[in-house]
Amino acid sequence: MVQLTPEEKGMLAGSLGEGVALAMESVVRVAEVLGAPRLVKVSSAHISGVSYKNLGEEGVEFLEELAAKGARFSVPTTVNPAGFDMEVYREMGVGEEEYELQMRIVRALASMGARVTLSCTPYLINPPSFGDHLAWAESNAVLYANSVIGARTNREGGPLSVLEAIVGRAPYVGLHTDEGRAPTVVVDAGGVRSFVERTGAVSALGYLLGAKVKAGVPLLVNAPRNLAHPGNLRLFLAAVGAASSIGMVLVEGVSPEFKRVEGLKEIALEEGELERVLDKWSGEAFDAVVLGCPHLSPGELAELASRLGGRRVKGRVLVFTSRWAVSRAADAVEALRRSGVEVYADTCMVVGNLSALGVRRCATDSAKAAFYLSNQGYEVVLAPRDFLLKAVLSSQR
Amino acid sequence: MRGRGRGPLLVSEEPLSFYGGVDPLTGKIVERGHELYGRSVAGAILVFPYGKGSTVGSYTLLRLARRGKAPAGIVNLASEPIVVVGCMLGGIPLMDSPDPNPIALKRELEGREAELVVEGGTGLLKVVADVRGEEGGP
Repeated sequence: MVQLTPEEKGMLAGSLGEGVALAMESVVRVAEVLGAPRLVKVSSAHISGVSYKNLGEEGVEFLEELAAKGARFSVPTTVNPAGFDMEVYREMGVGEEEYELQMRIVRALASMGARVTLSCTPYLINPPSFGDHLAWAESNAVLYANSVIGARTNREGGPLSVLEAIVGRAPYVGLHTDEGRAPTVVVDAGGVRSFVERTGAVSALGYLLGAKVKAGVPLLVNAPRNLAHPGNLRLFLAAVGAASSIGMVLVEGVSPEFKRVEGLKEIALEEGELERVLDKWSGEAFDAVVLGCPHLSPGELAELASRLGGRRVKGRVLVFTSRWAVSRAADAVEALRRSGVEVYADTCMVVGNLSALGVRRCATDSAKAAFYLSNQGYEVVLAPRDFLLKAVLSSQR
Repeated sequence: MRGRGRGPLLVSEEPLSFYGGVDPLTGKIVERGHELYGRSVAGAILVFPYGKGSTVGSYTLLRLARRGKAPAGIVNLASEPIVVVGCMLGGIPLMDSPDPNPIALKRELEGREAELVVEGGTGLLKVVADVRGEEGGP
């Protein structure tokens, strides 16, 4: 039985309208299924799965009806990337019908009070504090909030996060609880540490950890030193999320809740395994370098611009980021565009349509992007960002 | 979810992913290699162990329901959030933890007309007729 407060019972009974009652009933039902004793108030929500491809006409109608029934997000709410850049959608090969469907979703979410961030990096745009409870969908954001900030959220799931944003609560279970945040397995990266430090294969490391551990809360020891770089950390955690159902990694030297625990099972990561991950997405030829999974931060945009130093790139480079980061790093974006880099906001290579941009074979530094793009039928090369930048700066391709 | 539904039983021993595994426009199961590949969930009492895959699968159930292509009811051995939320949004009756386990009786149940009634936290799955031929059509 899920214990509800008088206020929650009222919401369930319709005191705040039909939309809130439907949302409350769903959240309570999920809480029952997950064995949660109660709900917990959250300080923010982040919604994933907002592209028209996922929702379709029926999903759009559902959101519009929720809004029409008076449902409103009761906590600050941000949203994941959409199918295209709202400003330059025509150049991205998006038809008017798709545009309208996507805009109806965005308008419905905005009318319920969402901030139209269209980014998978809410932790940069609306950063939570240590100990905050959140209702976040989008696995890389969940992993970052739990592992790096020490905020608390499960991988709530896209549709559920809409309902949790309305009621401002999530089932109190899993990573919301102290017991659920205790490490379940020790992962020793000592065997791959020098390899990752030498090659920069931080994203492949995340993919390997996810594929090998699959679930629970891993405690990562002997982590490569370059993992602490913020951009590397995001690439690493995103890859963990793509390869597993893990929502938190306790990283030595990074996670505020890291502490050594005795008596846990230990898993050692080996160099040969990491090489096999890289072999999955190896190759020479590509039409474009695609960066920004997760969305690049203002700092990463500036780093990229400074790395190019005004030189023109040979071949295509596509960068995906948030409109928030574009506004914060306007000069860097300007410089990148002068260098021939295509910079897109509001969307990404995974939820957007790379083939409409003329890309069939791509190279990326993100194992998460590599995983999803190869599932969508693209040929993908996975390599560290620095390696890819050298390739587009040299004349030989 | 509360409610009642009636239709032929469609039983899977394998978990089912609604996102990517079921066509949201027709209800056909499109996951290659799945034991129900090519079958349609539309109008059926669909029995499977539990949902898997992307949480966007909840929206697939909603889309099917709005097109009249959803299962008439779902029976899961163990519910998980994807199917629970999808059934809530789509108004599809959902029963979990059935006893006896209907999946173990797959060969006897498959194709039979059944009624699912879920109210007040309990569900009842009842075979109402045999539509496989012996007793004539509906």
